[in-house]
Amino acid sequence: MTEPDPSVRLIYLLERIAQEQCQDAFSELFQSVAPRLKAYAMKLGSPPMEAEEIAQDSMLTVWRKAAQFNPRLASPHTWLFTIARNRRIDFYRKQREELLDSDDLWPDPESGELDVAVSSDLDAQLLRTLIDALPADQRQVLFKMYFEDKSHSEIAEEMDIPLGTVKSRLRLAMAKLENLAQEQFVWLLIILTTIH
Amino acid sequence: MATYHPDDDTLISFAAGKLTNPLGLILACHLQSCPQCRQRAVHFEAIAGELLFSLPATQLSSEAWQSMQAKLASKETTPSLDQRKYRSHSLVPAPLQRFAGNQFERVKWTGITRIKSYTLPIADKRFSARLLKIPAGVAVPMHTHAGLELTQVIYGGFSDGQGHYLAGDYVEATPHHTHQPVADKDSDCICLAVQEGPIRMTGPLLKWLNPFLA
Ligand SMILES: [Zn+2]
Repeated sequence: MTEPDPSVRLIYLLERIAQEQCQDAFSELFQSVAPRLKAYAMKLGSPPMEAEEIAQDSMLTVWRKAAQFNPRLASPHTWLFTIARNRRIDFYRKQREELLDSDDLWPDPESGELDVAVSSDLDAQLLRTLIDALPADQRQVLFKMYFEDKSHSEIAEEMDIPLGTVKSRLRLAMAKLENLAQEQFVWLLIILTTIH
Repeated sequence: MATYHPDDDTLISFAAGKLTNPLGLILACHLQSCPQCRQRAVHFEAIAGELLFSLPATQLSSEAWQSMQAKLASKETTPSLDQRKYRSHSLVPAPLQRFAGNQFERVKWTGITRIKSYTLPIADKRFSARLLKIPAGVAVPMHTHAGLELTQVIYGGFSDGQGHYLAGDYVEATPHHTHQPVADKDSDCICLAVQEGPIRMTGPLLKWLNPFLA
């Protein structure tokens, strides 16, 4: 892997923001992240101006919560995703005066309720490589499953394939991504045994 | 530790933020008590994060950075940014504390039989959610569902002929399957139940009650 890992830069920027409220770091982070968050909200059906507002709400949360980001618990991409997901949910719930908001669904683990904090053991950069390597049909189902406000059967209808095919493509993609953790372990063994 | 869990598709939808209120709430409650599913949900969030950053970026409007700075400068805080504090060591899972406080005794239970219920004000077009309190040893009347029924056991346990479920378990009953849950003899059972469409009572005397029980 010759490309530099983009998360390294993101982690650096988030640390600058957390430690010294660095405006320059925030500006750079905004330019690189906000267009992605806007794309995400639009994919889920928000019109461009609303999507931009959701991206800004998310970046405001990033500015305020940067100190809570812990690179050992989540990659910056994952952390930024959860913020955008929650801000998008709250953006629409506020308008409909719904009773639940994202804090109810994902209570802050620091509020002491959870007995065990969990972190992902999936390596972000390997995960990205693997997502890029998925066959197009599996990747498409994965994207739709995550980023389109549709059920399995609606996805099947739209892609004009049977429901069972949607489910099996999703399962195949997931199995590939999840074998990752185990493969990493195997690679580690290979490296260790070749050293000795 | 829970024995019965939601399937991966449901966990993915939850991690993606796609579930509507009743389903989102029951998943949130399960995850509070199940480190195993919490771990899976975190995996699915990790995948979501990488997928998001592989989407092609959308250009921002020309005034985006300016209005961002205005937001930063304004002192007003969005309510949702002030993290609510939840009571830990409460029987009531954090996601339910908005409705039940920190004690189930404070819930405004209703019901003419010994089984008490409280309908949460979060129903959507397909699903409704309610808390159920079944006294020790008592059976819920025999019934069939027009749709899915999901139950998260919060306290105590129950059996329904298919299995025995304890606190932490997430139970999925499929449509058109008639069952009769019975609370364990040693304690009351408190559950969060999410139902799709109306329920049909099949017991001889209860059929006429149907319109009132949904
Ligand atoms: Zn579980």
